[in-house]
Amino acid sequence: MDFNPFIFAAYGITIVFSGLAFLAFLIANIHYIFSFFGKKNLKKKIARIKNKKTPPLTPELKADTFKLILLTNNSDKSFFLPDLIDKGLKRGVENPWKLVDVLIKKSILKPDDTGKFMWNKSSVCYRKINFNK
Amino acid sequence: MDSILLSFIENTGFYFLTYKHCIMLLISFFFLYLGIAKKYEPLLLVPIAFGMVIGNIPSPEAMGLGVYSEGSVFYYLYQGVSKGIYPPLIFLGIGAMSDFSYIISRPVLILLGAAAQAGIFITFIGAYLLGFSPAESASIGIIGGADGPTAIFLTSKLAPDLIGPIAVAAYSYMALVPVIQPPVMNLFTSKKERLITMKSDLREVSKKEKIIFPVAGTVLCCFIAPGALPLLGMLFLGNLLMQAEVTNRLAEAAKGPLIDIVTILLGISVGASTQADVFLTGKSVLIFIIGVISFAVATMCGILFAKFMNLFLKEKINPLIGAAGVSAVPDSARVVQMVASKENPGNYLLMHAMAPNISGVIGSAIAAGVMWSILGIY
Repeated sequence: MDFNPFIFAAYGITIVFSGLAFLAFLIANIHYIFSFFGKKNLKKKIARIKNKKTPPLTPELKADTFKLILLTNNSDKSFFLPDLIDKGLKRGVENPWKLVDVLIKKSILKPDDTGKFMWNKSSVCYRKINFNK
Repeated sequence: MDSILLSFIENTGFYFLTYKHCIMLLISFFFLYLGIAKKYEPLLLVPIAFGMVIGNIPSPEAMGLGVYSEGSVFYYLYQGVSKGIYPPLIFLGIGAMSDFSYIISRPVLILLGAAAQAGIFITFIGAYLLGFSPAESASIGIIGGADGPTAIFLTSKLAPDLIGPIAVAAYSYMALVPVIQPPVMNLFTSKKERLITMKSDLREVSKKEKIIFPVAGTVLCCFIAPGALPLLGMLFLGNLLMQAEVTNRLAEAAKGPLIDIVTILLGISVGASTQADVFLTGKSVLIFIIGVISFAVATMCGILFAKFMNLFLKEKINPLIGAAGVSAVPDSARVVQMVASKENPGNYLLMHAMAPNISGVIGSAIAAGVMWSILGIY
């Protein structure tokens, strides 16, 4: 049987793409399936979550934030976010990506003009976390 | 007395040293420098580079010390590579470390991971047209998936003779993601596109969904491509161990000691397999060249598909995150953040880029499974 690399590649790309597309479709609809089986008001809950303001800083998040502050030596200098996240991961911060997102929304972390981020020391939340420990 | 001295000299490494060994040792020292001084993927490069040092210190054949000499320590350690045992164990650890909530909350981004895998098949065509067999071409093409364990796994099944150069190429390019990807990303996106910001208020993912996803993913993906079963089965098992919360000890073991031990053994075995007479061939050089092209093409495919998706989406996605469909987790996502930050320092894309990054791992494993299933007969 003659081997045609173009047909093989076309089959391969199609199978991989179709498989992942179907997985994406399944995931996109799975919470509707849960809703059908008795999770009432799930759509309302999702809408509430989407419109919700930034989640409050729980004690666990505050502790993790304090860890991150310590890891940067509470410096005034700016730093790269991926480096902060790496350090957080190594020191046991559970979900540093989500935490950083919350800190940016709460303006505890703010960007400078060079692509780096720094602690917003004038932020009330920052002062509460830093001085309460 | 003279004969004893002569016998000793004839059994030293110096007696068997050739210029090829010297070249390989220099290459291994360079990789050690990259890993230790430059911190390019040190967890992978340092064991591989040191394995290269070990594999290229010549010794008498009668002593049977190398990976290819049955009965040697390195021969038995190498069985984990040649039999495809180590890669699934590494995937178990990767699954336990991964958070699939990024793709569960925005499933459309899974398609970016799928699109990036087109680079694997495009490279396959190129390698075949350059004279490699279908099995060899598949093993070379999978380098574009930027997934070391997957590359080693597939090559061990289809083209075991090429494990050395392909593994070294795959891991080297994974380490060089911050060097290879940014020029491609800048070439295929405009400044306006790079400035697109993405909302970060993603849907909250329930615990049930996080538990159902690995089970559903295993069943669906492995029914489509049974060849992906060892890799995806272990990836999703690792994730389930973590998400179930009743198997935390097992998850901690998988993402801690287990993956570290296997990484050491895999790295040193792969490195030791790159012996000068096996590695320094025209084929290896060609594999390295095609490998970097494969990487670039996969990055390009992810970006172009993101731009295509924007034609239909109301809420535009930043096409840079398509580059994260290359499954070098989490380096590709970090590179996306770095490139986006240069245009707009306040643009936080890292979280969004994790979705195609992780789906790229799944996609490359499916691609490997498909290629093994079909090409196993050639």
